[in-house]
Amino acid sequence: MKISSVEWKQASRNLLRNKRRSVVTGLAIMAGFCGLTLFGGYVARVERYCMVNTVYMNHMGHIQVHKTEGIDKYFSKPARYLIDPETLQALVDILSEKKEVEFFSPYLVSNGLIQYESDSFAFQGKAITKEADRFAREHNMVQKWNAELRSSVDGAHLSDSQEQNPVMVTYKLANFLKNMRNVNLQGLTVDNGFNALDATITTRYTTGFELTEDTSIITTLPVFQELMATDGVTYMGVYLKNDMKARSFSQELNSIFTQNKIALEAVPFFDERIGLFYTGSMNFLYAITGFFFLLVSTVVILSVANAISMNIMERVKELGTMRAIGFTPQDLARLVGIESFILAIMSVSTGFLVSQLIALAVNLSNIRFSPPGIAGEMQFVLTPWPSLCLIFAVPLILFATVTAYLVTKRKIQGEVSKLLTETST
Amino acid sequence: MTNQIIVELKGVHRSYQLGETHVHALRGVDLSVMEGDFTALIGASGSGKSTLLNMVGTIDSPDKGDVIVDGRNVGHLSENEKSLLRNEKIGFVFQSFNLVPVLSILENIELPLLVRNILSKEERIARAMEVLKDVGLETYVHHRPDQLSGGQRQRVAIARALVTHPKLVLADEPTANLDSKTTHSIIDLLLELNQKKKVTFLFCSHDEKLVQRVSKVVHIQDGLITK
Repeated sequence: MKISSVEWKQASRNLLRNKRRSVVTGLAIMAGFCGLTLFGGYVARVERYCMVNTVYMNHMGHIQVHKTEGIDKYFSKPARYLIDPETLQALVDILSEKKEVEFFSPYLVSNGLIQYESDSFAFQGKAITKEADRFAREHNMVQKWNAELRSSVDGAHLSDSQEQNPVMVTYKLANFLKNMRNVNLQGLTVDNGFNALDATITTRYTTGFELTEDTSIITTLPVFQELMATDGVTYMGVYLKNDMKARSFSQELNSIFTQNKIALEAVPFFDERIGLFYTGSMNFLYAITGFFFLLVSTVVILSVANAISMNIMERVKELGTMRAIGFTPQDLARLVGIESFILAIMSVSTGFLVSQLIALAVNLSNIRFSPPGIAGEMQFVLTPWPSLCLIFAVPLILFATVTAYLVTKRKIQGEVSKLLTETST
Repeated sequence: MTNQIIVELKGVHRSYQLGETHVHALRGVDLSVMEGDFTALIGASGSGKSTLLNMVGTIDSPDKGDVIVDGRNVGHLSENEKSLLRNEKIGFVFQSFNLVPVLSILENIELPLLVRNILSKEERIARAMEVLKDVGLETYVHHRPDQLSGGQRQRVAIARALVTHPKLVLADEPTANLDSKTTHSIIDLLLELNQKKKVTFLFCSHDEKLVQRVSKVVHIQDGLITK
């Protein structure tokens, strides 16, 4: 469909006929778009925070590879659901060939008690390699999205520690242990025997999540392997170059496991069995965003429908004349659709600039707050990225254009003579 | 002049509901207009002459009877086909000019050429300039309608009606809103176009000056053609 320059001119000049109405309609679109992009910018920021915290700081990886059914049954039967060294080597061979993979490392998970003198406290621990500690700590995604958490570490990192059995504990747990360095770790071996070993607290840190803040510890892989008397691991954490590929790559891995009859299962970090906090938080925020988007879209549609109806009432004779000289209702609906399209483009462009300015002002203000479920305070940051704005802009512009098209088409159907004799208000 | 019939109405009826009143605007009208005719429809206000013009212009539909324009029975055409017929074969001149206020004179005249969109921009402008010369307004191309006098606006409306080279031009009271001097110049222009371009004109009017100068007069009274 070719649109002539005369139609563009006519459409843009028609917008200036009733400037106040065009401005009010444009403001409604702009305000809605601005609100959407700023809220979307907040959600995007939270998503990045949760993703980085889940994947890197809590060492989940973009994909976790467990023994088949291990996610659900590992804690009841660890001996059966640990990944043995042979299977782990097969997995290493597979992952080494994949260009999507940035890094991978084995992890061992255990529960137990951490004791100082007569006080002992339950822990949920994760054993990692020193390379994984360094990788997560120094990753640019962590620097970008979670620099605060990264810097919330007191003491030497695991990868820098010279201690034989170094342990990182959360600040809360460290307080329970009266901030003493030498502790005793107690737990069950994979054969359900009791075991204990001495360890040294080298570091205090925060998990970033309230739920895990008073029970978490991180240690090195040999420490837990000794405690649990095993040479196996719980899962392999796989870090991808592009986190958007987590789902497709986990599917690819699963099909490789099936083809090679390897009893392993790959799940992405947003699978609620392993990333409950991430999925819970994000599903809630996405639902609110969807509702907000619906609300804004309704306002845009009603504003445009109202403005167009009034425009048509004022221009009914003109539209009748155009029909008389040969334009079809579709042609005229298209013309009014172009008007609405231009208005929506202008409103959205202005809204984009306004939202960027508001975001800049908010981000420079360094507003601190404590989001639910997050340990401690964080900066209130808005990130209305251009790509995010585009995601909201396209449907809004489409809704405004289609609404104008449909309203016009409906209103100018019928006998042309009636349009020509109808009194304009 | 040829003797081909360009418009034919056979037993055309049209009635309207105006509030609680049922108005019979046309009561079985038969009419033939030949190519090249310069025909005036004369009648009192409410006699049905505008309704008849609307029927011929395919912007209204009869309750009963046939309207045939350039050999095509309008009753058998879809809305889009009627739009195309109007665009290709019929030009309209309205009493209040009905120009698009946001467009320049040139753009107003270009407007009917956009419907089929078969001409390039340069061709459209050339065609619009040609008819603007015919109506003597070639120096006003970039003016807006509100910058012109009533007579000039009606000339623009005539140019717009002629730009598609229609076979038939319908004019509803084309001089009703004009002063005496302008009325004469518009009548002269219409007659000149009729004679030079062989365009068929059918118009309704109260204007005695216009009626005196037409080749054919059709009288209509209470929805019936009387002579």
